[in-house]
Amino acid sequence: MTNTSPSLTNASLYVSGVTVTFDGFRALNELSLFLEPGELRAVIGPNGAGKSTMMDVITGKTRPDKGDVLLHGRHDLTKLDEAAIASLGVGRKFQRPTVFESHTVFENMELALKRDRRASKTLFARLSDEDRDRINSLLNEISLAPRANDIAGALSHGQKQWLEIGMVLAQEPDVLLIDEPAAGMTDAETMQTAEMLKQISGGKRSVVVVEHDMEFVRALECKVTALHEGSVLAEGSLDAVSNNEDVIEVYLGR
Amino acid sequence: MLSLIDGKGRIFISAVLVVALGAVMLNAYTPTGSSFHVPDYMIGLIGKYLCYALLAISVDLVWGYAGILSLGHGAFFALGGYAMGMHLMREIGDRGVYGNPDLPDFMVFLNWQELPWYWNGFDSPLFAILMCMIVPGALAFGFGWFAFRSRVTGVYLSIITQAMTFALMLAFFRNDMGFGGNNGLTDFKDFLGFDLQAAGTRSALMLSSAAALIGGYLVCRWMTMSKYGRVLAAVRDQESRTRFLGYRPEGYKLVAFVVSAMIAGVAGALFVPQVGIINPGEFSPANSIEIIVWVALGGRGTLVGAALGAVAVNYLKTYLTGALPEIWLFALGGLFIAVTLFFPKGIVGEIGRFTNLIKRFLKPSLPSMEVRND
Repeated sequence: MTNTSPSLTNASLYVSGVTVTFDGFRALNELSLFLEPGELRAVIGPNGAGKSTMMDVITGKTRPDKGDVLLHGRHDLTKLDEAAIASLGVGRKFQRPTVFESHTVFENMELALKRDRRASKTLFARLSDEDRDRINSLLNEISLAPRANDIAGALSHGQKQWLEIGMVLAQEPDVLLIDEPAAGMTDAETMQTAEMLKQISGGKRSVVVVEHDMEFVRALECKVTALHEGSVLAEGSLDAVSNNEDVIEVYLGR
Repeated sequence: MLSLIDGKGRIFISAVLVVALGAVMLNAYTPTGSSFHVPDYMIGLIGKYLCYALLAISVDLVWGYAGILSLGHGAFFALGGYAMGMHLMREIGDRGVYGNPDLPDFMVFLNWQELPWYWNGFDSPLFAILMCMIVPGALAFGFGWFAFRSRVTGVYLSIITQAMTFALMLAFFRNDMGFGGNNGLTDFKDFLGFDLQAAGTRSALMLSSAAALIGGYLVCRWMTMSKYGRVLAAVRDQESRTRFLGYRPEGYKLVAFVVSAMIAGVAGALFVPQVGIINPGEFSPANSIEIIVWVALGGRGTLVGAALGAVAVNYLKTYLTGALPEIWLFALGGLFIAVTLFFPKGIVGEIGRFTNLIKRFLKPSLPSMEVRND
C-alpha cells in the first residue's frame, strides 16, 4: 500500500492490493485502483490483463484471495454477493450485450428500474405513472423510444448495447462498470456512445469503461489506466500512458 | 383482471366448463341406453384427465417460465395423492377386511399395534386437504432452498429432481414406512361420507377437478403476468444478468417451485379418489418424464398448451394401450422426438405462430418503425 492513496472516504471506489488466482494463474496481482466521485475512467490493456476479472471482483462474481474493495469507503464489497452489490448502486454492463431478449424494450427497462427486488414485492407490484415517465425519458436518452414495444431480441447489436446502458442507468447507480461498450459498433455509433458515457458521468457518477478501441478512449477525454498481467502498468492522460515505455513494450512487444 | 384472461385463456376455461358440465348433465339426465349418455367410467376418465392437465400446468410454471426442467414433479403429485389416500384409509374405519376400527388393513396384516404418529390428524378431511399442499410444498421448499442457493442449474438440477422422486419411490416401497408398501393405499369406501362408487360423487369429484384446473390456471397466469413473472422469465433467459441488476434468482425460483409443487399436490389429491388407488409406482421417474412430454407437445410456456398436451397424450395413451398395447411406449418416444424436431413450440406455440402470420398477412403492412440513429 502506498501512502499516495486518496483518503478512504473520498474514493467512491477503492480497490487495493487485490489478488485473484485461478488454478495457479494470477489473474489479478496486487491490483489497486481509486475512483473519485463523478470520475470517468478508461481502463485499457491487452487480452488477459485482468480487466474482466477486475469487474468480476467489484461486482461480487469473484471473491479475491486478498485485498480490499470498498464502496464509498463504507461497504466491503468482498463480503457481499452480486445482488447486494447491485442494490448498493454498482451497475455493470457486459461486453456482449446481455438484455432479456424475449422481453420488450420497455419491460427490460421496467426490470432494471430501481425498485424493491424481492419476489414477494414484485408479485404485487404495479407500474406507476411516475415509473412509466421515468422509463420513457430514459428511452429517449438512449434513442430507443420508438422501439419501446419491440422485443429486445429484434434490436440491432448497437441498439442492444444502448438498451443495456439504459438498463444500467435505470438502476440509478453511483458507480458504473462498462465493458467494451463500442465493440461491434459502427464509427458513428462509437462516437455517439462516447458522448453518451461522458454525459452519464457528467461529474455525478463514477464510470469505469474498459475498452480496446483507442479512438473511443480518446473521445472519452479522461484519465486512463493501463493494466498488464493483473496489475496497473501506467496511469494518467491518454498521451502520457501511450508514450509510457512499459506500455509501448507490452503493446508492441520487445 | 381483464388482461389476466386472454383469448387462449377464454377458450380454455370455456372448453373445460363445457366438457365438465356437459358430461355431468349427459350422465345424469340421459337414459343409459341413449347414444348421448356419458357412462360413469367416462366421468372418472375425464376427471383423471383434468388432474393430469393441472399437473401439466404446474410443470409448465417451473419449466416454461422459470427454466427449471423438473424430472421429479411426479413426486409432488404422488405426495398429494398419498395425503388424500391416508384420509380415505381412515374413513374406511372398521369396514376393512379385518374390521379393525383403529388400524388400516395393511397395518393389521403387518401386525402393527398402533397407528404411526404421522397418521395422526388424517381423520380430518380438512387436515388431509391442507397436507396435500403443505407436504409437497415443504419438500419443494427444502429441496429448492438447497439446490437454488447452491446455484445448481440445467441438466444437473434435472438429474437431482429425478433422483429425488426415485429415492421417494424406493422409500414408499418399503413396508415399514407405514404407507402400505408395494400395494399402496386402496379399497377406499367414501369421501366426506359420500360413496366413491356413486355416480353423484364421481361427478362432484370431476367437477372439483375442473374447478381446481381453472383455479390453478388462474394462479399460474396471475403469477406469470405480474412483474414477478417477467423477472422469472428473465432469470430463465439470463440468470446471471438478473443478479447484476440486484435480483436474487434463488428466491424467484423457490416461489415458483413451491407453488408448482402445491398445485401438483392438489392434482394428486383429486386424482386418487377418482382412480381408487395410490401406490409407489406414481413416484416412478418414467411418470415424471411423461409429464415433460405432455408439456412439450402442448407448448411449453403457454399454460393452456400444457393442459392440452396432457389431455392429448393421455387420450392417445388410453386408446393405444387398449388397441395396440405393445406400441404405446414407442409412440410416446416417437411423439417426443417428432415434437422436438418439427414443432419445438408445441401445438399451442405453433398455432400462435400461424395466427400471427395470418394477422400480418391480413393487415396492411405497417410502416417500419426502424429508426436510424446516426
